Amino acid sequence: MRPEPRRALVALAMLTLALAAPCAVPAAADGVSRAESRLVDRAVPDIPLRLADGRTTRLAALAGDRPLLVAFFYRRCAGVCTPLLEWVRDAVREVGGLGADYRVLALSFDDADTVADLRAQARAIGVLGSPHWSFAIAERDAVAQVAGAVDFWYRRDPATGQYDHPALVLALDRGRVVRAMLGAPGGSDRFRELVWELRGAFIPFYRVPGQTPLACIAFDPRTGATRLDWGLALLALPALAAVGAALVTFAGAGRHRRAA
Amino acid sequence: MLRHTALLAAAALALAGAARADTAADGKVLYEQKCAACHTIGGGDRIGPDLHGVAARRPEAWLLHFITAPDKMIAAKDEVAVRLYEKYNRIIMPNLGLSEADARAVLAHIQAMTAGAVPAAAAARPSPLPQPELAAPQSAVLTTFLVLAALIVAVFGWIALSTRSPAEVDVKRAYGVRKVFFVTAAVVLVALLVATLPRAPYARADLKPDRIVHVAARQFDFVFSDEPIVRATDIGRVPTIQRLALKAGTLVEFRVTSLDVNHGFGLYGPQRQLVAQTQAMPGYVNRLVVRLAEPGQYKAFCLEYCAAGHHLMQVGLTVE
Amino acid sequence: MRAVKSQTLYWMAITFVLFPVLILLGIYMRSVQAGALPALEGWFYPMMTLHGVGMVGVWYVAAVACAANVLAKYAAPSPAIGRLAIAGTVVGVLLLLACVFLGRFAAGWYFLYPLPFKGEWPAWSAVVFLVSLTVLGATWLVWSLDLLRAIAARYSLGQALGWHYLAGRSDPVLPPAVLIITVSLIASVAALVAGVIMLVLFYLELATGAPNDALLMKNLIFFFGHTLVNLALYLGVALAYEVLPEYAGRPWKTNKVVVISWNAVLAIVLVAYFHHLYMDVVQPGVLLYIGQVASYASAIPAAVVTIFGALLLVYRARMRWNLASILFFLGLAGWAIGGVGAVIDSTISANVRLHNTLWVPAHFHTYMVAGLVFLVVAYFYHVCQEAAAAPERTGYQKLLATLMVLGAYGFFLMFYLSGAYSVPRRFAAYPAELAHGAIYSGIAAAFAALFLLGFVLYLVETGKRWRRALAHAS
Repeated sequence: MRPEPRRALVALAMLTLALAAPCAVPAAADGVSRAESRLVDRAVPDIPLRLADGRTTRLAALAGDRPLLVAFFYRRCAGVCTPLLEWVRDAVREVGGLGADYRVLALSFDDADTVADLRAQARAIGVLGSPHWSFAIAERDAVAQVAGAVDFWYRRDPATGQYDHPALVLALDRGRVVRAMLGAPGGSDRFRELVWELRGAFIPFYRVPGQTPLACIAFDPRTGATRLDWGLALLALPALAAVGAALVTFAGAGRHRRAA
Repeated sequence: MLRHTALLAAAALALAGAARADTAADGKVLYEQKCAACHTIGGGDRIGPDLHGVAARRPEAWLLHFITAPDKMIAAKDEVAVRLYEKYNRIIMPNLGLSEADARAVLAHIQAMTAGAVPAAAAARPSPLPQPELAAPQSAVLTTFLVLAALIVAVFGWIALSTRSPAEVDVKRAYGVRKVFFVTAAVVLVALLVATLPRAPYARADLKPDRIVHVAARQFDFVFSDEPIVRATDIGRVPTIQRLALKAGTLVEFRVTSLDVNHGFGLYGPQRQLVAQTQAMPGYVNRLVVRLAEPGQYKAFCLEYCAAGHHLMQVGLTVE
Repeated sequence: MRAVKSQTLYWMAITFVLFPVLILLGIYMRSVQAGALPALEGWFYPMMTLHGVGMVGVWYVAAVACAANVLAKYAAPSPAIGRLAIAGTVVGVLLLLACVFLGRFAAGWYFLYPLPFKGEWPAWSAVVFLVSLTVLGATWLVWSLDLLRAIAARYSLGQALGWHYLAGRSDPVLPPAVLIITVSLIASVAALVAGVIMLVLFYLELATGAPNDALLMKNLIFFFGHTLVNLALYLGVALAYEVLPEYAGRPWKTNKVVVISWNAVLAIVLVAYFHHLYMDVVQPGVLLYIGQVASYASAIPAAVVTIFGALLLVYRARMRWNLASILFFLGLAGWAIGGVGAVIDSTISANVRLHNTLWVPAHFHTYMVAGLVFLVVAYFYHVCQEAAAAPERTGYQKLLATLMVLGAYGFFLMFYLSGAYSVPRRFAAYPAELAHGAIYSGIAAAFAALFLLGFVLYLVETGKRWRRALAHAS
C-alpha cells in the first residue's frame, strides 16, 4: 500500500503521462472519479438560455428527448476552456453519433459574455453553424442554480479578471446527470466511453485502475467494443497444447507403427 | 506547452480537494478500514467480539499490544488471546499493520462510540425462522427436476425388469426409436435454449435504473455507498449507507466489487430465497440490475466462499 | 500387462482406504451444519477443502487407473510411468494432508485466486498446497501422455478417434472404450495444461508480488477443475462400454453415431466450463451464452447415444445380474439423473437462483457418487471377481447395492431440497433466516452414514476377491 499523502502526486504524475502519451491508460485518479460519481443522478434545473443566434430557449427544450453533453466555459478564459471544448469536439467526431444520439451544449458561466462572444467561441473551435452544437449564456442566478446542482464552482480573480474553475463535462439525460467528467481532458478514453454510453452502447463493467497487465477483457473506447485482451488468449492455449500434444504423440508413434 | 501547463494547473486544482481528504487519517477511518469488517461497537458479536466498552474490560497495555500484534500474542500463548481465539471459531485476528499511535486512535474512537451506543446484549443469536414457502421460480426448477428424474427411474426400472423375459431385439427398429428420441431431445433442447437465453439476468443498456447503489465486499462484510469504494483505503473516507432503504418497485443497479478476494452478492427476498445474485470480484465492478417489487426485509449473503467468516458475511436492506 | 494389472490393484487399495475417510469428512461437515458438533466447527473449512480436493483427485486417478487397465488389453502402457503415477499421487496426497492438518489450509477445492494468499492460514500452507497440486498435476500430465502414447502405438490419431467409421470402414476395429479414453485423455491434457498455467501465474505472483487478474485466474481454475471432473466421468462411461456387454451377452460396438458424438464431446467439454462464470457479468457475454449452449449440447451425446445405447444393450437381454452389472446399470442411471440437475443449473436464467446454493453439490454428487463412483467400483469388483472367480452371494450383493442407492439418493435429495430453498453451499453454520438448512443437513448425515455402511459391505465383498487377485498377480 502506498503512503496516502503521495496519492495526489502520483495521480498528477499519471495525468502528466496521459497528456504526454494520449493513447496511454486513462488517468482515473481515485479522488476525481469519486467526485464524478457523486454527481450521477443529480437533477439539473431547467433554466432559460440565450443561444449564439440570439434565440431564447430552455435547457430541457434544447435537449429534447436526446441526451445532452454540457461543457462549462467562458470566452476570456486563458486556461482550460478552449482546449476542453476542442477536446470534446475531437472525441465527438471520433466516436460519431452527434445529432442522432446526443447534442452538445457549451454553457458560459461568465455574465460578461455576450451573444457575440458565443459566436466567437464557436468560430474559434470551428463548429460555428453546426446544428448540433449550441453555445449559450444565461442569467447569473440561473447559471448559479445549475452550478450549485452539480457542485461546479468558479471564482473571479479581481487582479487578472480570470476565473478559477475546474473543468467539467456533464452528460444529461431527461434532466438528470447520467455521467460526469471532472478534471483536465487527460483521460480522453474515459470521455469516449461516456459518449459511447450516450450512443446507447452498454458497458457492463468497469476495470478498477491500477490492476494487472495480463487481463481478460478491456473496453476499447475508440471502437466502442469490448476487446478481448491477451489474458483471454491464455485460455485458448490449453486446448491448442492438447491438440499439439496429441498430434506429436501420434506422429511420433506413427513412425514406429509403420516401421513395425 | 503553455496550454499543457494550464491544464495541469486545472487538474491540480481539481485534485487538491481529494488530497486533503486523504491525509486526515483518524481513529474512525482506521476503525472502519481495519476493524469494522469483523467487529461492531454495541451491535453484538460478529466474526470477533463486540467492542462496546472493551476499554473497561481489558487493561490498556494489553489492548495496545493485541491491536498492534495479535498474531504474536496468540503465538506467545497469552491467556486471554488464546481464550478469545478458541471462543471465536479459532479465527485468528490478522496483524493489521497498525502502529501504537494508530491503536490509540482506534481505541479513542471505540471509547467515543461506546459512550453513545447501547450494548446489544439481547440481540445475541437470532432465533431460527421456520422454513418459508417455496417461491415460484424455485418451485418450477425443483418440480422439473423431480419429474424428469422420476421418468429416468421409470425407464431404467422398466429396462431392468425386461431382462426377466429375454428375447432378441430388432436393432433396426431400435435405431428408428433412437432417431425419434434424438429429434425430440434436440427439439426440446433448442426450444429451451431459445426460451431461456433471452431471459438471462444480465444488465442491459435499455434498462435505466432509478437508483445506483455501490457495494464493496470484503472479508467479512458488505459496505453500501452512493459513491464507489474500489480500494480498501476508500473505506472510512467515502460516506457509507448504514441502513439501505428502497421504495418498492425501484429498479436498482448494484455496482458490486470486492476489496480482497472473490465474494458473492446473493440477494435474498422477503421469502428468504434468492432473487438475484452476482459475483464480487477484485479489480472489476459487476453491474446487477434488479427490480425490487416486493416490500419487506431483504438480505444479501456472501455466496462465494471467502475463508473462515464466510457464513457470517451478510447485510440487510429494506424495501418499503 | 501384468504390471499394469497389479498396479490397478494398488490403485484400488488407495481408493478403498481414502474413500471411506473422505466420506466421513462429508458426514462430519453435514453434522456441523446441523449444529451437532459445535466443538469441532472450527475445522469445517479445512475439512471441506480436504473432502473436495480429495474426492476429485481420488476419483480422477481411480478412473484413469481403470482406463489404463482397459487399455492394457489393446495396447501397452508403460509400467514405469504407472509406478511414477502412484508415487507422485502419494506424495501429492501427503503434502495436501500436511497443509490441511498442520496449516489448516482452507481455500476450498477450487481455491479461487487470490483466496489462497488471503486466508487465516499461514503462508507456508498455501505454498505447500500449490506444490502439492503441482506434483499431482505434473504426474497426471505425464501419465495421460503415456497412455496416449500407448494408444498411438497401435492406432493413428484418426483411427483412435474413429474417423474411419465415418468413411464407412471398420478396420481396424476400434472398441468404444478406446475411443472415449482417447477423447478423455486429450481433454485431460488440456485441463492439466490449464492447471499448469494457473500454477505458474500463482508462483509468479509469489516471486514478484505483481498481482494477477482475478477473472483470468477464475477461468483457468474452472478450465482445470471442471474439465478434470467432467472427463473422469467419461472414463467411467468408457468402463461401462467395455464391460457391460459381457454381462448382457450382446456386443456394444463403435459405429458412426458413437464416433460423431464422442468427437463432439471433445469440442464441447473444452468450453462447457464457462457455465461456472454465469454470475461474473464481466466475462464477455458471448462466452456465457456459449457455456449454456455447450452444456445443453453435451446432453445429446450423453443421453441420446450412450444412455440409449446402454438401455438398448440391456433391454430384454439374457442379463447376468451381479454386483458389477447392477452397479454399472445404476451408475448410468445416476449419470442421467445428475445430468438433468446439471442441465437445469446450466440454464443461465435458472442459475441466478441456483448458483452456489446446495443445488450445485446436489447435482455433482449425483453424477459423481451415483454415477462415477458406481461405475468405477463396479469395474473394480469386476476385475477382482474375474481374477478370483469366487462364488457370488446374490442376496448380499443386492442388499449392499440397495443400501448404497438409498443412502446416496437420500443425501442427494436433501441437497436438492436445500438448493431449491436457496440454502448456500459451503456454510459452516446457517443464519437464522436459513435455519431449515440445518434440518436437511442432519437428515443428509444419516443417509450418508447409510451409504457408508453399504460401501463397507461392498469392501467386505470385494476385499476378499482383491486379496486373491493380488496373490494371482504377484
